[in-house]
Amino acid sequence: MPPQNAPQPKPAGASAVKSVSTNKPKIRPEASENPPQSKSNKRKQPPQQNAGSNKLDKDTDSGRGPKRPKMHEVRSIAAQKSHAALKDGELNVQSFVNSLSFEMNALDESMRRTRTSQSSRAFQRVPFRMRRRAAAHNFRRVPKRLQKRAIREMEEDNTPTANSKTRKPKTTKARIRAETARRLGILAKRKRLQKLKSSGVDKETISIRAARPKIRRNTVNEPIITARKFRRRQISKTWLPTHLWHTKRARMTPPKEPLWRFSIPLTPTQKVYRPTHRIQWEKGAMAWDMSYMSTIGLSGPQNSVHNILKSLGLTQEALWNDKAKRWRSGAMHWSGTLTRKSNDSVQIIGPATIVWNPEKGVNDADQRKQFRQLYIRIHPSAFLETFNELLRLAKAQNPRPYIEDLRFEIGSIDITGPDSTEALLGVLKPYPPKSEGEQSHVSKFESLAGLKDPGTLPFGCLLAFSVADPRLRYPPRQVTLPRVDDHNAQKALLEAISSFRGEEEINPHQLFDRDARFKASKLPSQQSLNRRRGKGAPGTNLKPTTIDPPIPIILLASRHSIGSQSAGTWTLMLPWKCVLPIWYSLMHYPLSTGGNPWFGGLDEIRHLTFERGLPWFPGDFPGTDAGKVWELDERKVRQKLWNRRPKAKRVNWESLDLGAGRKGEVGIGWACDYEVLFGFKKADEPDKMLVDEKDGDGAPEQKSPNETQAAPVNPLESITQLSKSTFTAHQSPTSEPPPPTSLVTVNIRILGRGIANTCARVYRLPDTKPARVSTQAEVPATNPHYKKNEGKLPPNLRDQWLAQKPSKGSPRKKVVVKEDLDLETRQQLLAQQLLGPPEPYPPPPPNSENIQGHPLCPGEEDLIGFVTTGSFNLRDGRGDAIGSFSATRVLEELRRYRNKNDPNSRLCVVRNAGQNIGWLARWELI
Amino acid sequence: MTMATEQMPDASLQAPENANQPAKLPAIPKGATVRRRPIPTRIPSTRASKRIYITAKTPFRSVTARVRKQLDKNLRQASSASNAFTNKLAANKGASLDDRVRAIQRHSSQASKGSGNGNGSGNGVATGLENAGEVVVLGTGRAIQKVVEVALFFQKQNDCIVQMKTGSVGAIDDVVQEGDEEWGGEGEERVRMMSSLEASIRLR
Repeated sequence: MPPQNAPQPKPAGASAVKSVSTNKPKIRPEASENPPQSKSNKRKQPPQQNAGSNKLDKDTDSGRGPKRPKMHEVRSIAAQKSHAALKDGELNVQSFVNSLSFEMNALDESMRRTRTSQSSRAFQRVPFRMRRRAAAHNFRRVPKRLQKRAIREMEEDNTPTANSKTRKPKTTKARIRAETARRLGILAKRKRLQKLKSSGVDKETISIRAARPKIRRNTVNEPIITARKFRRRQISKTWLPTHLWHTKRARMTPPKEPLWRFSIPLTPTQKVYRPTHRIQWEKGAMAWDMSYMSTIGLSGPQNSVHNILKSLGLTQEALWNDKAKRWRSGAMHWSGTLTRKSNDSVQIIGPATIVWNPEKGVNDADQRKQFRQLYIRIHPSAFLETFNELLRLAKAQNPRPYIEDLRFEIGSIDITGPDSTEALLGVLKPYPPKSEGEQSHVSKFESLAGLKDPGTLPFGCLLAFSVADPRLRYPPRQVTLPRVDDHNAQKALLEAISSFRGEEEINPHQLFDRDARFKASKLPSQQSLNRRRGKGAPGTNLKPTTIDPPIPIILLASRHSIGSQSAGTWTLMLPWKCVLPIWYSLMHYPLSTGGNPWFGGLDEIRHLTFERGLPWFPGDFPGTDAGKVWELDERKVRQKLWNRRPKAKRVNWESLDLGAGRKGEVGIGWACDYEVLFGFKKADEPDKMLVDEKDGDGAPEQKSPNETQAAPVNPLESITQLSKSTFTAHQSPTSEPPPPTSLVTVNIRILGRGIANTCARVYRLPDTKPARVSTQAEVPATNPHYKKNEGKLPPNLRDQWLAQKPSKGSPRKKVVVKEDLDLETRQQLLAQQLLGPPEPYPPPPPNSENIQGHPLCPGEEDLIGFVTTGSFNLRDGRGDAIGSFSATRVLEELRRYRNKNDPNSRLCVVRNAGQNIGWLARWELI
Repeated sequence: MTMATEQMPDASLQAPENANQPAKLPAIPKGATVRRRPIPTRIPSTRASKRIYITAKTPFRSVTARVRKQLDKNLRQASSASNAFTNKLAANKGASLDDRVRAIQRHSSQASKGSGNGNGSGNGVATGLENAGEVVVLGTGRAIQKVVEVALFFQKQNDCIVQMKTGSVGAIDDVVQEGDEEWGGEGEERVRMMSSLEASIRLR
């Protein structure tokens, strides 16, 4: 409503209605007579209607004139005239009730009007997902539906509009810079034109195809430069294909510290912690640009390829007999851990996914010599290790297979959540529509409409087909899904899923074909698409023509853990250059449950893996090479953070009192200190830890970093990782013990309260010591308290900890007992206590030796490991953690309890670094 | 897992012999385990109906607390979003006072008419709760008992209307042979129908 129309004086007697304002009924008419006439040029002040007419009104109106009467108008409660309910002293009940109901509705309506009236500006009305920087100054930054309103409000409030395109440089420096840029631009243009003229390109000549980039075999390839314009920013790192999109919406790795030589989005700028949780378990979809995952191609005669895979740790029988025939024929994918042999031990490289390319014609005669191709998809932190190992293994084979580094050839997108299948169905449109080889996969994919969880698909599900450029159908439209209560559709979906694994003729996947990949990366430019679209009628989709190449893709569905209800993930592998168009469409797909798919960063990946109770590579595998690097980097980061805090506000590791005379943190506070766990430090310098701490305290930035650098070798060098299966092999009594410096990964669930953080120390429950007999003899003679003999833990520490275990139903019993006591018995008890001899040894109250009611932590000799990831788990509603334990101690711990289901087995105490309170928890091998 | 192995043949045994019934699933070979996949279609909650999926292990109190919390929220939203005003009046904010009064009168007269017809919706003035959302508690298999318990709990409360609806949901199991777990293994697939129960709870 334009401001001048706001005050509309009502004809008072026009109807049986008058307006009653809530507080001061008189203001409105006054305001309408005196429209605002201040002249000041302040913001929040509307443009003047009759400026300069009355300067005296300036003070009284204070510049906010026209809003006031309008607010009044809005807030006023409609009221009826005193009704004819009371007539001749008689109450007409019906009309009285009616008028009361009217009043209530009027009040209600007024409240609502007040709320919806413009007490807030347009940019404040958008949900936080759609908020944009500087939306208060630029109406284009609010959604379309609110733009009109935003323009009006800005006019009313005299808000200066900003437009980055037409903004003039303000400072001298900026002006000079802009001018130089303009001149350089002109110069460059002139140069380009001259070059064109001299080369004679504008004359009709033969057209040659663009050079296909070389993929060198058996060596690492050059990274792709994403936006040529910014190539200087990509000297020491690689940008993802969606880098420019992500930089506007996410926090990236700092330019000087890329992660695994990539610039990776860490977390969206929007708040996503709880939305991420909801997307995983309730509704929505979340996508990641996972192009940084490395793909390695291995090609060669079948026999040598098999041998290489076997020496990469794929030794399970089942993988090489008839059971995994489908995997080897390329109909499914397999994920597992790769290992390599070093010296005499077996080192874990990391988790990887392996996809075979189906062979063309099956010929049983020379199957062993047949040429096969496969992709190994592995985390970039383990890429070099895998690549070198593959090279080494390939050299030993005859005939020799070759290896291709396809890191920058093949990109990928991960998408998870209940609506992920729908989003993919909406974006990926098979093309060419009738290709024989891919028909079965296409129809399988299209039969998935209505599927909420890719985890329902069979293990290792793989779909390979070609899709059309999604920009042809941009913006993506919602696909028609079967109605949720349609039983036939449900049945059809179930049938489709259960027939997924049927035998079928598989043709080679197009993504393995270099020509297909190269053609797909020659997508027509956005400009030419726009031109084509301009020729057609508005709102119609473009028809794919010969210049639109099909994009070969491979879709992998993976389940995360067995048995749990966690949603599965789709992994979409596609040529690197095609990631961006598909990403745009994916991000704009309107989901049937509302909203668009979200995007996530590295933190969201870690969050979700944590909620699933799984370890995240490389952070939770500190025994692998990649994990060691991660741990050392994290140490530095944490140390830096610690150093940066003022001395009074940071944890003083040295003065941490662990009780029983123990002072100081175990190991270095900011590290998962495996050196202490395995006793590396004791060997060379026993007091290194103390020195370190003193340095940190006294001269924060001086020595500590130097020390870590001065260390000649990686302190974690000799640590190895054991997988669960290897560990169980060591578990049988006849087998040899695991290597002394090996780690296993465990999942820790805290039983009661408490949350574990990264670097938290984990102790096993102490043994009941044989020395207990002697202490028993001593104690009654001297003192039941142990404070005197400092440096000794109470002998019943184990029982104290076991008493911490939350038990079912016991609290109620206690209450009942207490209620039963009447006054007499209580008096008797008291008398007994007073008169009787001082209590002998047996009941020293279970928590007498404690920290605020918490038992003391066990000693350093009971340290079994560290927490690598820990937080509150939104899914379980309690503290949860992933940790790394020493394999030897875990084995001891498991052997201590004969019965596997012993209620006390696998209990541990988790204590956060820098705190003296521990929490009882239970661990589980993963 | 093992629970499921034992249960399934039992369930199929109890099913009456009928031509319409789906064929009985074969017995599971010895040493094999059943691995259950997540249910393929799981309807997400909407504004109008909040769906709470429960398992046999879900604590009873937590379900009732969640339902009650959602009901309270619905009540709050319903009372603040009576359709008559939000949709009609808020849309044309420039309405004159006369228009407003007329709209209110129309609304109250409609409401009183509605009560006169005896919709059972209440007392003269519409409370707006007719359109308040429902809370649906769902469970399959062993969790059905818990759903019934929750439904009974809310039936006893004066301000709730509880409706139950039976149904069946398809699920897929993997029958994994003994040695196959080590490589992740794909086993034999079988489709199984589970009975399900949903209790829709709304405020009176």
